[in-house]
Amino acid sequence: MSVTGRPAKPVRGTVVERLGGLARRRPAAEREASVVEVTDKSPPTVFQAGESFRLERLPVGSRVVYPPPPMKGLADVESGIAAALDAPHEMDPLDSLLRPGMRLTIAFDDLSVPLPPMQLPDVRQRVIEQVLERAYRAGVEDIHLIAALAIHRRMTPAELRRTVGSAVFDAFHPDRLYNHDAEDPDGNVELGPTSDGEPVTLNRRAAESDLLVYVHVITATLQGGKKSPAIGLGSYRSISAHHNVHSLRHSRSFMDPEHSALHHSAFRQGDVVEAAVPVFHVEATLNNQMYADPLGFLAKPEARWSGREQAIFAGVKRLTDRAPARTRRTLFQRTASPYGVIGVSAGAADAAHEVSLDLCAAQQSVLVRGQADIVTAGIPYISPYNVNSIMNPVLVMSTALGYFFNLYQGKPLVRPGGVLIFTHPVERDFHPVHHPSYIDFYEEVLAETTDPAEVERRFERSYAEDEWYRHLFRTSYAYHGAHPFYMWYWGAHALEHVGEVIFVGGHPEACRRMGFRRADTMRDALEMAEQVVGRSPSLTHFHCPPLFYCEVE
Amino acid sequence: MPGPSQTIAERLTGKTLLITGASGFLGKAVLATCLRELPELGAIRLLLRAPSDEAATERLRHQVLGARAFDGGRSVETELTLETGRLSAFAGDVTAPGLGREAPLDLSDVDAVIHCAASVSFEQPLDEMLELNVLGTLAIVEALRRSGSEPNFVHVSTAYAAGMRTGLVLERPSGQAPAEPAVDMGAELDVARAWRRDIEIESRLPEHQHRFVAEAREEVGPAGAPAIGARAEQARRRWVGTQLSERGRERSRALGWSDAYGLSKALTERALLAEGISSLTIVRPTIIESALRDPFPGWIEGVKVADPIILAYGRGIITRFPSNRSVRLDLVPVDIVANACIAAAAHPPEGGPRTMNVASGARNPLLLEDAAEEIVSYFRERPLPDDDGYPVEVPDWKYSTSTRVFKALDRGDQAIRIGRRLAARIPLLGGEAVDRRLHQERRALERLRRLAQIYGPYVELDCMFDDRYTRELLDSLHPDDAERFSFDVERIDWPSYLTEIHLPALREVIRPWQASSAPRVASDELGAIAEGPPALAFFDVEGVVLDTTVAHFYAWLRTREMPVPDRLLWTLGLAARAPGYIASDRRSRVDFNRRFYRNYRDLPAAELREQAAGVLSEFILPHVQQEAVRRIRRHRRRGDRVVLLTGALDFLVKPLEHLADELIAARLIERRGAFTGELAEPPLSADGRASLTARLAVEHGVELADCHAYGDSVSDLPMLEAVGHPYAVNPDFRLAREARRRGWALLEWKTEPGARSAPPAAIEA
Repeated sequence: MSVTGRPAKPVRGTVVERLGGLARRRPAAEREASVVEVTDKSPPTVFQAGESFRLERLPVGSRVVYPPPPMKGLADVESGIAAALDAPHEMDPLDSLLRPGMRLTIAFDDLSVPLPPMQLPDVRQRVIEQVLERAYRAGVEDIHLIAALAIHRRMTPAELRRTVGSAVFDAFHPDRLYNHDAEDPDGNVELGPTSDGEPVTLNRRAAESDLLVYVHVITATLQGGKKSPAIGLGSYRSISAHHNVHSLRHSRSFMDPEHSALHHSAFRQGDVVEAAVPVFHVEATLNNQMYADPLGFLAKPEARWSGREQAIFAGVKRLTDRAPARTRRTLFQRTASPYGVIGVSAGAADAAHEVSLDLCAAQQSVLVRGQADIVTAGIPYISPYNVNSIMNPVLVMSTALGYFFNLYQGKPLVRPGGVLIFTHPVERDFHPVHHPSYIDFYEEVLAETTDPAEVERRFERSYAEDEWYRHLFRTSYAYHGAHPFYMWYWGAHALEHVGEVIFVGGHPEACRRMGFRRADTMRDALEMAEQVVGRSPSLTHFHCPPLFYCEVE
Repeated sequence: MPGPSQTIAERLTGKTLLITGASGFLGKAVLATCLRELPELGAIRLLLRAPSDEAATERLRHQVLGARAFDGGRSVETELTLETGRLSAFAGDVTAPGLGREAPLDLSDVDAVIHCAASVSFEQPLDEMLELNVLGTLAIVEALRRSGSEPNFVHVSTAYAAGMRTGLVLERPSGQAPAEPAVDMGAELDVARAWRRDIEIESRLPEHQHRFVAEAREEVGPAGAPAIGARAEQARRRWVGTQLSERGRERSRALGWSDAYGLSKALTERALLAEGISSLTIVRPTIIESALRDPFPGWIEGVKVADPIILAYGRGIITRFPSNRSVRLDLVPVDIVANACIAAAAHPPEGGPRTMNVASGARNPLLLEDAAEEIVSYFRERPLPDDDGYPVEVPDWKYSTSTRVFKALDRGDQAIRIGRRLAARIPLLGGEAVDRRLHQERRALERLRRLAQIYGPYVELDCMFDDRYTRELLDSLHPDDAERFSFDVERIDWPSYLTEIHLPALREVIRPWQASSAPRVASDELGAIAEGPPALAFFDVEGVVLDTTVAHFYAWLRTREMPVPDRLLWTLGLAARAPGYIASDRRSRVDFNRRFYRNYRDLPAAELREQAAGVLSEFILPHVQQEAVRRIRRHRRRGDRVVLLTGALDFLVKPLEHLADELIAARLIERRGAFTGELAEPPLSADGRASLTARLAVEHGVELADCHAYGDSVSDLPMLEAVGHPYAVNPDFRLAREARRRGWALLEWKTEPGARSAPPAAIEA
């Protein structure tokens, strides 16, 4: 099956059969209620701004794109998982793949998904427990569980316990449940180049296993598929084959696998991995229910908030406006989301992933007609790389220009040369344990240049090979030395596309260092934007989170 | 003899002029005027202090002719140059026999001498003063006599050689003025030399010695015994100098002069008269200040007699001064004095020695009151910046008697002494800021006292210098010269001289000094890594790489598994002992380390080592000053070998091995599975670190002068002094003071604010 082609035949034998034909029905077109025009009677719009909220009045005539409401999750997740394991796509049922004496490795997505973390039990725990149960039943004894970190920070024992559950943790940690170490010279093997010459590295234990079960959590079209083992269990060298400025400038967008150079390259690596070791993929797709009650209303249009909800919001805003940074971060980072699992698919990479993509589209896509001169969005407190941590300025950039900008299929929501306006305080705060290389990237690299290509050419290698960073990455809880560079490249496509980026409420020094402008109020920001795009601009507000993406015509 | 109608140039055509003291302020002015206005001179010869004639020529070329007085201006094509040989310098030391030369100097061609060389310091001990000024002058006379020349001798004295007089001061040389004591120069010199011996002996007596050591310990205590010794010896020398200069001043005042300078100049005059020089002019200027016209208005070098007071006022340091408002402040611009000297050289006195007061007080008086008004309004309109860069608001100039001023100074001293004693006794109360503040206050008071003692008499003298003979010479000048070589003090417009010429010139002089008192360097650029070949870079860990002390490490290790209430209690217990530790650390870092590490006594070694596994994530990273990491990386990129020095225990700082090339840490002795609380090697601190840097430099074959070192406390001083490129990082107040004094880079590094605002993360499962 081709990397990008979709299966012609309808999916069979999965719990998502009930969605039958949904892919062809184009759910985005059924979201006309998600695009609302601002009138003079509209209430102000809520913007996330780090660990606080802003209420902004957008000009009359602006469009606000709201996320689709959450789909109903599976009533019985356990049987959903069981069904997927028993009737996988284009592969034999899991049970028939397990035999005594085999080496089984279960890799799972790390804590960068989902965001915010999932209310317990985590779906990974549920999948892993069932896989283990079947393995025990089949008499498999040599089982390892590996958190597929790529070059993210290691998960702490506490975080691992939260992800896989106490029973699994206690039985396997630390000898047989551990973090992948992308810099371990002995723990990884080279699987040889892809058809396009990209190097492929894989965790040695995974490579030498008789079966690799990869447990995915899918909350965006970026995630999952056969690239995951190649990336999650890869090395800096193999990951840098596609996490570079060139690939990311040609991933339009990386939320649209068909048009993403990043995906094409990583899928080629995935092919090499699959040729070397049989991989049984399990993909669990979540709905977009990010807010737990009593804050569930935050996902709804402000005009539809009840009196009680408005009062709750006022209270929360007051609290977050006044609480000290540490308190706010503690409160926000503690929240977990009551996601529903909307589907589980298993089996061969492409076939199983296809189901997830269809589910994502069903949950997240919104049709928007025409690009806007100005797009506004509120940047939340969390990104994949600051779970239990701090969203530093570089992560703000990657969240805004990497993730938010790229949440499109077709064309970007903002027109070429248009203006992006975000709300975020952009404080110069870095987590000293998680993000040490980010601090130096900010102080040293961004002081010299903000051009992604130049950043890559002049600095990436020295950071990637720095012994101190490597030591921190391997033994502490630090992101890899090269990780801030990837964050910067993540925004490379947006930097090329837009005319100006403005942060409302952003810290002046941090915004200037990153090459952005800042304003105290939305009104000022709109004035500044008009100088770039002209008088009477069109404005679209991207009301995310909850996560969704736009199909722009 | 030249006729009265001849100009100075005509009179001096083809003549040879000897100038001494050409490297001084007045000497430069005389030389510059000669080069500019008198190309007809046959030759100019300069006597400069130097080891050889070549060195003297070199000195002339760079130190004298390189000065601002000689560039620009109205330069004329002149043959009076080093190249033509008509301008020449030769070496001579007036305090050594035969001018310290191997072959006697041939001065037979000299027609006129302008003798400007003298010690003009008000604080020089009497013996040195007499040797330089009296004997030095006689040595020159002797050299001239031996060469068989009998030139016209112009001796630059001072108006204050007349002693502390009131009312009219006549133009009579010392010894011929009314009511003067007879002084036996030889006896004075003998006694002054004997004082030096006495005071050298006295300074080594235990009582004084103890004081010097105590002072040194207070300043650089933790830097170790050799550093304290060096500092104490410095203090002793300084004390000897002060004592000598005070005795000289006392003796001079007893004889009726304000200080040893005035006395020595008076005795020089007497000695010259006794020599019976046929043609002698004694030029007695008052307080010489910046140039009125030549070489350019406002030319000045350094600050002169009246200036420290003016500046101290402008900087808001003093608000009152012991003086009287109607006193005449007798200033005279340097070019006027230089012109008077040249005119005197061209017009030998007729009928015996001539004395000329070059003073403004009689003809064009500047009352202190008027000067003060100009100074006040000048500094109000164009204020100087204070230490923080804000304009100083100058108060009204107040006058008071010296007793009142000194009483106020004494009271201030007393208060500060009590404050410092308190701060030393109760270290928690003290803290850097208070210490620093007290120190600054004391320095300000000391400076004030010195100003009042030394310069007070000059602005307090209620007298007026007669200038009849000076006027006579001025009136006898050829009309052409009256303009070119004018020394007419009546032409000075005091308000404009002060506000347009002198005060702006002073500002120019102090500008570089002001800039150096700017606040600490925060930016990377200014404290950039010094250029040079790759060498070693030493980083202290506590306070430079991490913002912690060995005590923090200990507290973290002991409390990391305690429940919160226990931890609070435990911390309180440690805090109770903190004052003792702080006091011990103030005395000596070595003492402190030894004392503190006893806390580890009987603790199980294996268990602590296991506990330490989490040190990197839980303790080190949140305390890293990231700037240090970048700095270390840059050093390594440059090719430097980075060495981390720490007093912390090896097993706690082990992860830092990956940051640098070498890590040198402390190690505890372990017996039967427990620590004994004793260190395996002597603590690495103070001079121990300096020696280590030297040894490592030899081992790696690099020059210490190319090495870099980063320290935060005064105990790092020896190490910082040992290397060529020292940097003080977040220095404590004592190190900051030493660093500023030496012009070292001061860096301010911080930990990440994120360390305090990060959400608390559970690591353990």
